[in-house]
Amino acid sequence: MSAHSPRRKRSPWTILVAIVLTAVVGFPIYWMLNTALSSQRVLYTEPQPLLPQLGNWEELADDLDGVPVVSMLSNSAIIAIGTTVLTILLATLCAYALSRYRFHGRGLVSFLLFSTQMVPQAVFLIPIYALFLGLGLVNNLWGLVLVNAAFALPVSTFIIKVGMDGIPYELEEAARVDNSPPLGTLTAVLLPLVLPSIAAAAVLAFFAGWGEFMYAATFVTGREMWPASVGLSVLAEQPSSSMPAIMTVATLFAAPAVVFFLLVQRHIVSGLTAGAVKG
Amino acid sequence: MPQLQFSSVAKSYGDTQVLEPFDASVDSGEFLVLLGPSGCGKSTLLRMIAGLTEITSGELLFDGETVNEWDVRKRDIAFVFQSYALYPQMTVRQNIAFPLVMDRMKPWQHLPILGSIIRSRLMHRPEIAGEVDRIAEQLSLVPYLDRRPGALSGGQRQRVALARSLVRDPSLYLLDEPLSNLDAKLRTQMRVDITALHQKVGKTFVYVTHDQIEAMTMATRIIVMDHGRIQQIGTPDEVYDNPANTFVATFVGSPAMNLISPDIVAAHPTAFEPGIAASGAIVGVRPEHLMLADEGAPGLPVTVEVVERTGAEAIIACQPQGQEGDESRILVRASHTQRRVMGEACVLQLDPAHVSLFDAATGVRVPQTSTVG
Amino acid sequence: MTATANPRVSRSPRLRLTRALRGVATPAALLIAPMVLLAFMVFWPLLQQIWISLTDARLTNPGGGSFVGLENFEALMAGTALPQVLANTLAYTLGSTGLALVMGTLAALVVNTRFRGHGFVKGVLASPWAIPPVAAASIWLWMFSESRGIFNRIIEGAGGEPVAWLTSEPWAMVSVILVTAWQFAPLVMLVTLSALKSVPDEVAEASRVDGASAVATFTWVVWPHILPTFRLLGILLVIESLRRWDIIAVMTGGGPVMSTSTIVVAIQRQAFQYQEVGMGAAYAMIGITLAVIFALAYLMVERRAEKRNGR
Repeated sequence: MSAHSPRRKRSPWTILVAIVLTAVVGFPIYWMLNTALSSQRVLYTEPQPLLPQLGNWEELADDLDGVPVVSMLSNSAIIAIGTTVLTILLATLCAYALSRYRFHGRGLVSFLLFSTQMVPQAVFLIPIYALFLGLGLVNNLWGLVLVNAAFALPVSTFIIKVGMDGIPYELEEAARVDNSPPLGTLTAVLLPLVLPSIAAAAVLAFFAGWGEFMYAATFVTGREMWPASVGLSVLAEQPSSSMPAIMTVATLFAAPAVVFFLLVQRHIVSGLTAGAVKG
Repeated sequence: MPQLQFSSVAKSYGDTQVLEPFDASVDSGEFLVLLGPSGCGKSTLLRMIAGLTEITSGELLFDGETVNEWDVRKRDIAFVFQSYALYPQMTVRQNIAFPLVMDRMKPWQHLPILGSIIRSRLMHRPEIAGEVDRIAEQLSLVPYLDRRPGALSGGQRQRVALARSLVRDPSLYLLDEPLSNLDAKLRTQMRVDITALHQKVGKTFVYVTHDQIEAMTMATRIIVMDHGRIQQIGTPDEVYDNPANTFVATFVGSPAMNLISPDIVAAHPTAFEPGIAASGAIVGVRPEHLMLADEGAPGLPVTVEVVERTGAEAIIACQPQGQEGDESRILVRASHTQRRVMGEACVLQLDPAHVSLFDAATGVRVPQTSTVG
Repeated sequence: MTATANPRVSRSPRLRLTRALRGVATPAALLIAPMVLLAFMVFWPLLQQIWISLTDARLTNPGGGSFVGLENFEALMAGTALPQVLANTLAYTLGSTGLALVMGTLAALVVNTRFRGHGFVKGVLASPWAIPPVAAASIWLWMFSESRGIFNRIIEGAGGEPVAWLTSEPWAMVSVILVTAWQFAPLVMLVTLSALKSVPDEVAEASRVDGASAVATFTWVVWPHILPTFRLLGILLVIESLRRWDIIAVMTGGGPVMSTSTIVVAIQRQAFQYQEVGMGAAYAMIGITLAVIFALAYLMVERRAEKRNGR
């Protein structure tokens, strides 16, 4: 307890609640790892051991044989990275226009973004399917990138806009006086200062692309095109799948996102709260 | 080194006129101060000179050329912001070098990432590095070159802002209340420094302030503004000695010029010059042009209300007999040897050579017909 | 120096037009790409969806149905499915939002104190939010397994009857709510935590000095301070669970016997399993209406709160 932050004193109750909560919330994650390390044979014949069993690697390798783990994860990565890049590019443009210009239709643009955030994505499933049929984007990762970027755009725009609103406009005027062209002002002065907000928006966009399931499940049919979300759900539905294999895929699928999230958690929360409050 | 000329320059936002049309010209090399209370439009005017705010109507000319449509960059100006507007993510060195680096970059070189590489390479060019060092030396910023603005004191930030504007050797310096965020002592120091700087570079300076002492000490010419209207244009002496109206009279000078209402003048006709007493105008006298004499002498009978000693002199507040309230109070600047006590009855005598008259209805200065030499 | 009209105030209309254009040109150039994307992915589909909901389109030719007026909506109103879907949606939305708010606030209060292992606890409590929903669903699918899941093993160990978690009512709904709340709670925790940190220490201390108990301090000082954040989280989670499809799709597929079919599940199933795109679109219209109702309700609550606070 630091001297200058007199938070509530911890009581035995607090510790007890902390332990129980951590156990309850953390258990599914533990159980995922535990199951991934178990043997399918053991799972079917006797109670699952409560402690992780190391040494079932060969059996796990056999179970995973034929599961396109690498292509699933790399497809997810392509979708996630594509979504992130496209979203951040467009959201930065959008946020810059909304934060720095007062123009006719500004309120309308904000409203359109806000309402996009409100409507369930499922609503657009059918027409976008029809559109993609025409454009040949069904069963195509780039189609999913377009969809995910569109849905991640509003939140990202709000987060970056709030970040930009916090940067005094005088800095850009100073840069103008200092002979900087508009592009130079943006890249040398403004963007470095809103980098934390951009990072927060980027992580959210990455998550949206990495875990997206509805559009991927509906649009992607080819096995080699499966992202991890679709692959894992297919695996989980097949009665013949081995549970350790399913849990291994789930672990590989979840781990990058969780690690990434824990690393940048602080920035995301400040970006999210700011964006939420103002948006 | 442009000569500035304003021809019916005005600014309005929608239907709100924030600056009424006015004409003025400023010779090159002058130190022009835009003086007025906050919200009077002085910062707007400065930003219009800089090109940061559009001119609604009228023309602004640099050396006879209309610059209304000129981009900020073309105007070759330096602008020191009230908040200094230092780039927080850059070191002091990068801040000072920024204008030089930008001058040398081609448009396509500003792309993200590529731009930052090119900027850091340009920083190492001898002509840029040398110039930055020279300016830093001049403003004693050398020890702080590798710090970021966040780690500097107010005075140091102020000097960095000045350094950044100096480094490009612009022809016109625009300063927006640059001293308002400093403490009193530092402000006095910087006032001297900026005046010295003006003399040294010999360029035109336009300086915005609400502090009449800054205006009086630094300016070669003052534009006094209020409510978006130019009240007076003149040298500090002209503004001080011959204020154009009651606003200027009370805004410039501390303590302000005394304004004696026509009623009081009419009640004591013998205390004033015959011409003045008959004019029916407001009589304006600076505190230093008033003398207190013992009761019985000719003049305006008053009662001493407060005596405020400031060392070398004393400010004595008097109330004309039969009056009360702040409005009619008259301040006298007297030598500290004057011994007056509260409640004492005295007589106030005016220096007729230094009396200003203002129209009672409009507050505008009335030309004096019979001026005693 | 008078304020009379200056001849130059009224500039030539052409110059004013260029100025007006200049004012819009830059933002328009910046916004064109984002707006084109939204137009293709959101606005145009939305209009199309409205049209499709008035046709009898089939999946094989989604754009080519013939106009049937309000027949789809009439069919929805006449059937028994819609009331159940709405009830399910309400239960799922409010259930997972409510549970997440309670769990998340509890977690935030715990994490707001300092103790050894604080970082670890916070990390664990925050993690579920980052786990992709399909991965989360498959973990819980295994834990809920009727014959070999850990939950039934515990229940049987305690001498109880095993529960058919995902294949019986009301347990299927309870299960999907649990998983959704598990994923939402970390967001509640993190946001509430930052709201808690912004409670001025002096105010909390002052109430302590004034003799308030810990509970009273929370009720009268801390709670009013975090209430706006809490309301906002509430609407965000409601909207988010209205949109949620993945967890239900993987765990129950909307079953058993439609008992976990929310609007979103219904839209997808109607269109892509039954191939009745027009009916699916009709469901979508109802989904939009729900989202709008919730958003309006939130805005009204906010406005009333603002009025009360005299802001």
